[in-house]
Amino acid sequence: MSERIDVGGGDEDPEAAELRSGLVTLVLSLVEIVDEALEREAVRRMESGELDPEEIERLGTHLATLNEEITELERRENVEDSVAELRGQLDGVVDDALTGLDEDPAAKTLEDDHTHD
Amino acid sequence: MTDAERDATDDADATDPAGASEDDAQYLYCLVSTDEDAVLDVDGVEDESVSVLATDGVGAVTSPAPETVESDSELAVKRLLVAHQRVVDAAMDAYGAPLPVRATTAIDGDADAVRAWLGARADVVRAELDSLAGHREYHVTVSWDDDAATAAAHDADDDLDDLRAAVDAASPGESYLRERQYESAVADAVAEVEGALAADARERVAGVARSVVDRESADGVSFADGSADAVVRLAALTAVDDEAALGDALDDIADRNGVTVKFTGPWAPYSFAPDLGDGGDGE
Repeated sequence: MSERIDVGGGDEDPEAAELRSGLVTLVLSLVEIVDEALEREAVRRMESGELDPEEIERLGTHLATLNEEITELERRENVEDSVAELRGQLDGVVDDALTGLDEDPAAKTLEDDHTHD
Repeated sequence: MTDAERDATDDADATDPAGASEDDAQYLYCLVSTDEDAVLDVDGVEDESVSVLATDGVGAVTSPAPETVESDSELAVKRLLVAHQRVVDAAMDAYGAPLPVRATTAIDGDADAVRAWLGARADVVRAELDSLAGHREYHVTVSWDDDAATAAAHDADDDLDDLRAAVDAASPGESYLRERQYESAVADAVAEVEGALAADARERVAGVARSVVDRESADGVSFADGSADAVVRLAALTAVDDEAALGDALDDIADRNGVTVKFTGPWAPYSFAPDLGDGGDGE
């Protein structure tokens, strides 16, 4: 988790730093999504009785550690806000896709209209 | 959209009705009931003067259209929308409920072209205006503070207390999974009580209003209604005389712990106007 991603240019190159930060944000956002999926699956197995107490404890401990490492990595890379922002944007994309399926064109707000260019 | 009608943000060539020059176009704000041409005392888009062009008992509220709108400039678009809304409000004050037209709509040509466009759908426009007479649109936003909604969810579902207790009683590893289990259950329960609150609000508003629709989360009319805790956002077409009754209908909801009801209006009936771009048949 602590491997440095080298995209060249060094810290003094603003473009490379920005690229690196964007890449780290993207990777950590995806890691967060996978982590949450793992947690949901773990809870599902716990609720369904598939896991014995020892397995529950071990799995919970591992996921808690993973979550802490992700949080620490985001803090160290100073991308907490940008990860949260990207996650929000991804949620927005999904929401738009869902609402777009049954949207009534006549019910559009005025702000929608400026997209027609 | 007909040949003579276009979006002001389009770069497409305009048709040239009534001998107008190629660049002529009239920005269209809304349609009103009137028999006479007039000038409205309000600044239109790009501070242009606003005219009411009448034909067959209905009038189009227009001003000379800007050549283009910088649709990728948020400031330019908001400035246009504010001007659009300002003119629609002025028309509503002068003529009663207007039929708002989608922002950035323009008719190619001069005043005669506008009259020709309006005359072609005057019967439909008149019928819609008669139907909306004496009514206004009101916006109702019901918000619920997160903590209060969570408390209500606990009241409604005893299992949540048990799940919370299981988190506190478990060893560290299990506690982590129990915490996630509890959070997921709380989220579902909160969604359920919020859905019930939204349905209640919708039903109460519908009891007073002629028509109710849910609004999009982004408010293109007021620019100031983006509460993150909003449970439901409604637009209600209501008789002007029933305005007080609409507010009273939501008193019981507003009294609930952590619930805020925001009520704005009167607005022109933006959410209830037909789309006239296809010839005014409301489809």
